[in-house]
Amino acid sequence: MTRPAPWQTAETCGTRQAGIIKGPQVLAALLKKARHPLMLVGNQGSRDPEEADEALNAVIFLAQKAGISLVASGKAVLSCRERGLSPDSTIPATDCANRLSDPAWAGVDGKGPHDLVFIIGLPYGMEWTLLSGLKNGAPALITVALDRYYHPQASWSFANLAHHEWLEMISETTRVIGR
Amino acid sequence: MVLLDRNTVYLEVQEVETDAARIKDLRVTIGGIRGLAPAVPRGPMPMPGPGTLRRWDRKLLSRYRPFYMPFCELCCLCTFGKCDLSGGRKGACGITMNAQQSRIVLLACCIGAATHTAHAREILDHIVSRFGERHPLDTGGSQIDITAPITRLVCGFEPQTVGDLDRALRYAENQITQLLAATHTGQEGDYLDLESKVFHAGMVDHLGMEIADISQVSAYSFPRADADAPLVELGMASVDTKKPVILVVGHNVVPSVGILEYARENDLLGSIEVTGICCTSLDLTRYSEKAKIIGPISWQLRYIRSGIPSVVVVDEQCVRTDLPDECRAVRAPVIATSDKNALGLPDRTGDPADEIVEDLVSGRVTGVLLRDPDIVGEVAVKTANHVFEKRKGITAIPPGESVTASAGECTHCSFCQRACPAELPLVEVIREAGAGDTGALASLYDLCIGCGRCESACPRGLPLHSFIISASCERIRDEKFSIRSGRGAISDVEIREVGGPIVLGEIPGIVAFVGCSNFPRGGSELASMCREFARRRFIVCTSGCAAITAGQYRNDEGKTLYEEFSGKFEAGGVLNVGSCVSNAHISGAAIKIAAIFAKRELDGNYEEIADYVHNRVGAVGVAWGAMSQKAAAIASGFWRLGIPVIVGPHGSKYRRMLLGRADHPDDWKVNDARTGEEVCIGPVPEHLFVAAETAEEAMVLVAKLSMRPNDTTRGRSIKCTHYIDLHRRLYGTMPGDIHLFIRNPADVPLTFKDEIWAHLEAHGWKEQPVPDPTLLEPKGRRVKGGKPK
Ligand code: SF4
Ligand code: SF4
Ligand code: SF4
Repeated sequence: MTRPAPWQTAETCGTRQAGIIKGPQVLAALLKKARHPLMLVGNQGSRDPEEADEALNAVIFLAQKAGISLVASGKAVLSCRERGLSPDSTIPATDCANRLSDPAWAGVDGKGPHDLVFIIGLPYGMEWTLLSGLKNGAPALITVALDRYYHPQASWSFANLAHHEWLEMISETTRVIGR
Repeated sequence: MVLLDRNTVYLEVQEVETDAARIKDLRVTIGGIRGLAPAVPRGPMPMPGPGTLRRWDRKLLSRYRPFYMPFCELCCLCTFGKCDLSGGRKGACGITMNAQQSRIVLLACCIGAATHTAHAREILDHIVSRFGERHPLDTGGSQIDITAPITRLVCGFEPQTVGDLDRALRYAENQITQLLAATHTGQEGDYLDLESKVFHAGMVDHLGMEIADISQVSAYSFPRADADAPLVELGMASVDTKKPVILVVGHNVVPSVGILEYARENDLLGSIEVTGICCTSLDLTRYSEKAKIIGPISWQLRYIRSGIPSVVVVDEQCVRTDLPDECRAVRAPVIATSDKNALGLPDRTGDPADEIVEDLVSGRVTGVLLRDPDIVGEVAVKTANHVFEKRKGITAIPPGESVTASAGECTHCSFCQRACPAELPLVEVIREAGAGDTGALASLYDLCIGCGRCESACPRGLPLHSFIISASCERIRDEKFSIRSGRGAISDVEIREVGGPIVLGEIPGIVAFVGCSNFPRGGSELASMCREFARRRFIVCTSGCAAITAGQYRNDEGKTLYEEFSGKFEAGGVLNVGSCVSNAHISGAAIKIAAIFAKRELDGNYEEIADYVHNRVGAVGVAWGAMSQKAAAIASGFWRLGIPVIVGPHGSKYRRMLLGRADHPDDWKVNDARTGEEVCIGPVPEHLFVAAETAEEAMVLVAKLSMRPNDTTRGRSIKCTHYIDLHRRLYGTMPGDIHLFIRNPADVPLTFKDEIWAHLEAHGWKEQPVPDPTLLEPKGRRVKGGKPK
């Protein structure tokens, strides 16, 4: 099927592009299969602060409901703590991606390697390059670009959704896994 | 002793006695510049080839392993391709993805090193032809003994004159050719060997930069290691628009010197304005306080479109390639001055100056190429004077009413926003502008990096960057600042004064803010970082566009950083060393700490000096807006010295990081030079090349990466205090890894004592020795008189 264009112009990669998350079931199924998922939350780049706030609330709620380990990069730790959640780590996103590419890494909480990672809130170009590093350096790891923008370098990505569509999708996922 | 390099034979006889004669200290050089007999290269590794320092590079690379982030998964470098290297596939030549990425990094660093080295070649040849090959090198008078630390370290000889630099430059040119050859299809295929060559390109880059800067400092009497270099004007509002205005853009100051010289000789200095963007402007203000700096490279479009410059003179590097089109739109004649950047303009070098001026003024030609700096001076000044009246009122920045009307044509397709590397909310601000409120447009002024990609993308042809500038006219009217002109080298006296506190860790670090203006969220973050670390008593160095940007923001009292802090190489100093090529003085200072303070042998002794710098000198580079291949090469020159570099989020597009693993204790072993034993020293410095997502993350990283194994307990305690304090302020928590940096109870900062002890106990912390650290075999260290430090 045809893929959407990457959100930022010209950020095209190679011959394999991310599968599209069409509904909450996709995320729920990924989470169900995962043994030790991780969420890497960045600082929302320079995007709309109101949307960023809603987005962070939604993904933190999802992480809490699904018991996903959390890395807050940049100063995202402050936003997480404001929402009553202490991240498992505050290592830089770059460092985190590098460790994820090591299959022997004990994981952010020392409970063993991660097999699924959600990434959200990094500047688009940086998220794109880190996802590329994982795509090529950690082939066994499933990567999900959790932003609403299409990230071809992830295993799974949303297809440039409007903010309200995206919010609905995340909230629905949280509901599905909470059942 | 007889030594050969590719072009030169050196014969040195210390003492020979025969029946016929007694010969002492005879030196003969065959080849090289006529009439000169520079000293014989000395040291264990003078003029190393691409593989000579492989052992040292591998030591660094085994600790700081490359993490590749392919920016492109395909290779199209030869007709076997395109080859898809993803998913573990190999190219038709057999290359793997990792090797391909390091190959591209090497290509970028070769481009960067070649650019600085070719720049050095142009400057050196010009200076030799003007001032003679025996013109003495002088970068700081009696304050400086080691004039050329990088040349001595890499090449193993001490240049005394500009002519002596030719040999070092030929060596650099030769190395770049060899490195470039390594990237050919079917050449180097091992990613670590490619990375070692990346380091080599960086080392050569710093050599090229040093040659360029010390020759121009010596010939043009720029400030020489001058902490009190004059404050000069910066900003669009500093220009007197009642006078004809010349704009110079680029990096090579020679043609711009021609402009100032012509104006001076014809008594016109008071009646024209010579303004500049990027490094040429920095170097021009080192030459004359009369010149003015407009801004970093991101100011090209806004300043040219303002219509203020009457004539635009471009030299080389980082000049927008569409500049002739932009100049045509505001009827400003263009003068290209470099063979490397001829912009398709007709070469009029041999024509009479008045004829060229007439053609430019009449509009018969919109631009010319002039390859002689004296002619550039005459033509630029005369043309500016002639077109000034004719061009009055011309601008490409639309007035406010027209912005509102044009914004109404927007279809909200979002192509502009999707093209914007700074991810600015363009659709929303255009919508508001269309409704008559341009306030949101103006709020982007500081964040916009002036790339123009939004405009190229817009199907309606809306000039969005110009809209932002139009909406910001009030802000621009206030754009007038002070920047200290580039001081050049760090003096030996300063190194003697601070060498001890730096090596012992009592000055918490040297932090160098360098590079371009591809900032993720505008330049104010860079200025805030500089101020933060100066207040924390770090030594803060700036250079290039970063130095300019740092001067564009004022404190609460209305002072820029350069007015607020001293320009001395001391705790709490903020030093603008100069242009891009002046970066060599920052690495040069680290090298001089090893040579002067610690008395390590300097000449041709790269490995040992780098080992010293890496283990003892708490220096960190921050290239927050790094964009260019030159910035990549500059960074790699720091890496080979073991100095960590932090880049902003766009820096991840350099496609590989060099990251340590704090969770791998075995990676952090050094030899203790006192006992010969292997000792764990903790993850210091933790990374060699890392992209930070936010300025807050970069600041925490600077504090952390300033730690070195050699820190005394007092020094480590000071460094940990900064690390903890920043972490708590910016992240709201105690750093979770603080136990990795406390070696013994005396390292624990008193202010956070109880919290830290609780943390140490929770992490099963054990006391560690503080070694005399080296990554080399402890024996065989070369010391020049006295005890090593
Ligand atoms: S250089 Fe190698 S990988 Fe690249 S196109 Fe040629 S064969 Fe393919
Ligand atoms: S010129 Fe400014 S607004 Fe336009 S794409 Fe570049 S950074 Fe974005
Ligand atoms: S690209 Fe042009 S038409 Fe489309 S949203 Fe941007 S300004 Fe409007």
